[in-house]
Amino acid sequence: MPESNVSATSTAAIREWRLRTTLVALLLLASTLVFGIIAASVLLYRVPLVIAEDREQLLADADGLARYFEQLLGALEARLGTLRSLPDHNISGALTDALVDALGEGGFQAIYLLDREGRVIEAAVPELLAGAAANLRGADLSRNPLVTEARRLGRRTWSDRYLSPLSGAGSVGVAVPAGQHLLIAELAPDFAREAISRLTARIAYPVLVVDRAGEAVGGRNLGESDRLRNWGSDLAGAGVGEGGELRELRFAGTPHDAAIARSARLGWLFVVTRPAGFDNPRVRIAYIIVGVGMLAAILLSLIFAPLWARRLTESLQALTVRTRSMAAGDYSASVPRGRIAEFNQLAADMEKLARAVRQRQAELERSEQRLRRSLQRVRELNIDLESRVERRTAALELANQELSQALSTLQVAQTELARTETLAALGNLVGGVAHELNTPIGNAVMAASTLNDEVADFARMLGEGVRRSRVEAFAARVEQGTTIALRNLQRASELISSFKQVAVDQTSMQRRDFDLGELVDEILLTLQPMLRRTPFKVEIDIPRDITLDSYPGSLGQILTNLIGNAIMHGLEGRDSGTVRISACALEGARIELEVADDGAGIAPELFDRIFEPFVTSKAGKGGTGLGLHIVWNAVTAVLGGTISVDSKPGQGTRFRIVLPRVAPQQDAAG
Amino acid sequence: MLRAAIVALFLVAVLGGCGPQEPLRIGFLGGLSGRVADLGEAGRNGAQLAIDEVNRGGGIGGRQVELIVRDDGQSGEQLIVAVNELRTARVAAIVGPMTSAMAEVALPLANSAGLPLVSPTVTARKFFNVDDQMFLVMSSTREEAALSAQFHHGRGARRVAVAYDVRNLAYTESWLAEFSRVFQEFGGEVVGIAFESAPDADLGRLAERVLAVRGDLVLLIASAADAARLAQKLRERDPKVPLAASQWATTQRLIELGGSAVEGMFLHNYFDGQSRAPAFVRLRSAYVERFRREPDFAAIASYDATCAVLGALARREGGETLHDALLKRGPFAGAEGDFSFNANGDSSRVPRITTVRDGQFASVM
Repeated sequence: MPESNVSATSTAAIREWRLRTTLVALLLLASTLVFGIIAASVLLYRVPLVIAEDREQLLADADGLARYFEQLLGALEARLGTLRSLPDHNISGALTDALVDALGEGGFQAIYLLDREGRVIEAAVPELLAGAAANLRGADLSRNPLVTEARRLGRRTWSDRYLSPLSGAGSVGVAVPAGQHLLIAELAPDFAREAISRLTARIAYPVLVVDRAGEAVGGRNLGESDRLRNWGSDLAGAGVGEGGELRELRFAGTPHDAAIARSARLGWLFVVTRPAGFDNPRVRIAYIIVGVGMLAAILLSLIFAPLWARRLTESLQALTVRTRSMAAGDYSASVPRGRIAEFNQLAADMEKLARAVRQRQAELERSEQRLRRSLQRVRELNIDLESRVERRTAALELANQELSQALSTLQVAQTELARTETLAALGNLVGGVAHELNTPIGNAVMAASTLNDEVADFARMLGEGVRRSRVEAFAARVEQGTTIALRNLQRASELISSFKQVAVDQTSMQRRDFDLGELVDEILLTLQPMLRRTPFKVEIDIPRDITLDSYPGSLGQILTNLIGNAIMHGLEGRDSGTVRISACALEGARIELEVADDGAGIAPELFDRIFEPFVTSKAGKGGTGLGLHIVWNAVTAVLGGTISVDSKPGQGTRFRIVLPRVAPQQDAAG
Repeated sequence: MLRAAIVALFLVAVLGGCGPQEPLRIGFLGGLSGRVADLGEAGRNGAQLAIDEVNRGGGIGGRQVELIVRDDGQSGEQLIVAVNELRTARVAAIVGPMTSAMAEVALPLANSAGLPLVSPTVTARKFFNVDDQMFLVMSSTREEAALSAQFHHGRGARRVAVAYDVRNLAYTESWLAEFSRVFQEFGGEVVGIAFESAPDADLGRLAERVLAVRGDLVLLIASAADAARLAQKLRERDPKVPLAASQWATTQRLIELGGSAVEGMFLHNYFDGQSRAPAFVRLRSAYVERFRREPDFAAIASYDATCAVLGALARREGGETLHDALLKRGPFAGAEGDFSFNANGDSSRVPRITTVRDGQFASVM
């Protein structure tokens, strides 16, 4: 594997594995896991089966051994059967010979005949111990457990380990009652052991035959300690049931499965064993096969995995070498091909990549040249631009000066115009006053002149004689004439005082308390001459008792201008139309005043600028373009309120003015 | 990590789990075959019973105790093999041997190996008063023989014929010497007749030789089997002859083989067979249940010897040797009461006089 590893810095925290190590680990893991699973299932299935089979076999062996041994002892017993009648016949010398003959048939090492007191009458012993027979004759065996047991039961009895009166050593004896006598036969010392050895010649594991006292009477493959020990507590209550019993016993310190069968005749236990668990050779072989298989799998993986990994890494190495030379700038050579499709694909892709990189590089060089040229031009343009900016700045300053001058001129003009407008309004007022006064004064003049004629007539008639009825008629006419004249003159007087108030308001910045409704009525009165020439109606909807502490002159100017605007601009050229003036009280000591018409509305292009000076739809047709500007000034600057407009072309215009009931104080009124 | 886990898994699968703690081992050495097998068997049974009791109580320090039994076959060669096997099995101590003859062979081996021999039944004087690996549960033949001489002299015996077995000379000679010394001090006369134990030994002739002494007591220093058969032959010829025997013969086998011939024979017993002490009654019934016969002196002495070994194993401290623990950590609980060893590893329990009455041992004093 190459030393350079691109990802070394970015993955410092992660432990890096070489590809070969990874592949080896992968193969090792895979083979071990697969074999482990197979091994586990084999062991889990096979081992219990083996153990069960072995136990079955053990039980059969133990039972067979017990049965066979019983038969063997049965055959020995049968030989004694013929001796049973001997004592009754009392043939001289025959007894000794018969016992010796029976002994000669083998199996027994000694046969004794006991009298009813338990004394030995006759004894047959091996020739080697001929002298012992004399020691035995006359011996009192009445306290021998075998003798007492046989006497008690009154039938054939097999002993446990029994002490031979002959040798003093442990042996096995059988007592057979023969009338008043008792025949005792001792098994040859090795009989049991040899018989058991013969029967169990093929068994390689401990076989044990235990008497009722737990002493081993025979066995095979037993360690000395196992042969010499007492098994009573280990085998307590064992083998009572039919077909034997399984227990775990320790032989030479290792646990064995032991099948235990009991011989009913002897009360002996026959124990056939086999090492338990891992010590059982079949189990061990199963484990060893699995273990060796596992080792082999691991070993093969360890051998083949690196070889395979090298093949893979060789292809990869060639690719890596090419990658590095490409990184160093060499795109020329072709990439070598191997046996692995993905790597070959990678090689092809790398070549493609190299070609693409080469192409891109050429393009990059070209565009770099272009860029360098452009940069040069930009630098030149930059220098040009600076001088131009200087020139333009100077021109701009000049224009600015001119503009400032124009603005101040304009402001002067605006002030002039505003004054002109006020004068015009005053002119209108005067015109209106004259017109209004014309009617009552004309009526009064006519009534007075009529009265004058009547007086002249009556004076003439005074000369001719006057009748009472004529006087009464005259008096009635005079009264009528004076009444008319008086009434019209009073009306004129009212008008004049009204106009006087308006004129005072309009021409002075006088602050006072006033009722909004009354003020509107007065203003409308002054506008009557203008309104009467139009077909439009003015509707007023102002509740009583809206009082203000404000500047009525300015408010009058505002209403005059708005109504004038509605008539001149909104409703111009129409057959009918309505201007609606409404007001209502708002919370926080404010009122709202609305002037709306149902006329043409404001053109959208003007809408945003209508409160600016000199904006008019009547440019060149007599509009000054200052009306609404004055309104805006008066509302915001004098009355301390706000004005807004809502208009859509063709749907009329609505001005909404919100004013405080108490206007702010003006610094220098007038 | 992964690889380590796989290896561990593999090892567990192949090797399996670990076994339980290694047991403590105690050896037993005695004659389990041939003519003195009764002594060996009884000794083994007594030792086994003591160990079973300890194991039922959870062992020593949580470890079970295992008895490893070896047969010395009453032969020096077999004994050497057996002792070496027990050493190889790393036993903590050996309970045994059961006869003085075997003790003579075993002691040098034990001394060189630093392996305590706790003998239930060895009584030969030569083993007493020596600080070695031999521990003795019974008192020496000296006390027994002296008691015997005193007892029989007190009953009027003046001339004693003694038959003694040369196969266990270490014991029989020692016994005879002690008996003679005391009996002669009392003014008595002792005539010793040696014989060699064998199944076909001419016991009839031996009996005639013994009777020819015309003593007023026949003393048998012999094994139970020989004592029983010899008693049969003696009583055949002289049914009224007073018989006595050393403790060696005080086993069940004497009664089994001797029958009525051993009735009235005076012997020595390590314990009181009629004892009503609860511990003894319990031990006796456990023994009968387990081994289907009455315990005799060898069984009880062996039980005591094994209890001493187990007690010393349980109580020893730090690096203390078992030899030292046996000397210092007494007293140990025995069948009939507590006992301890003196500085030389000896005990001083004097066997009581017993006799056979109606086929059973009965204490006389």
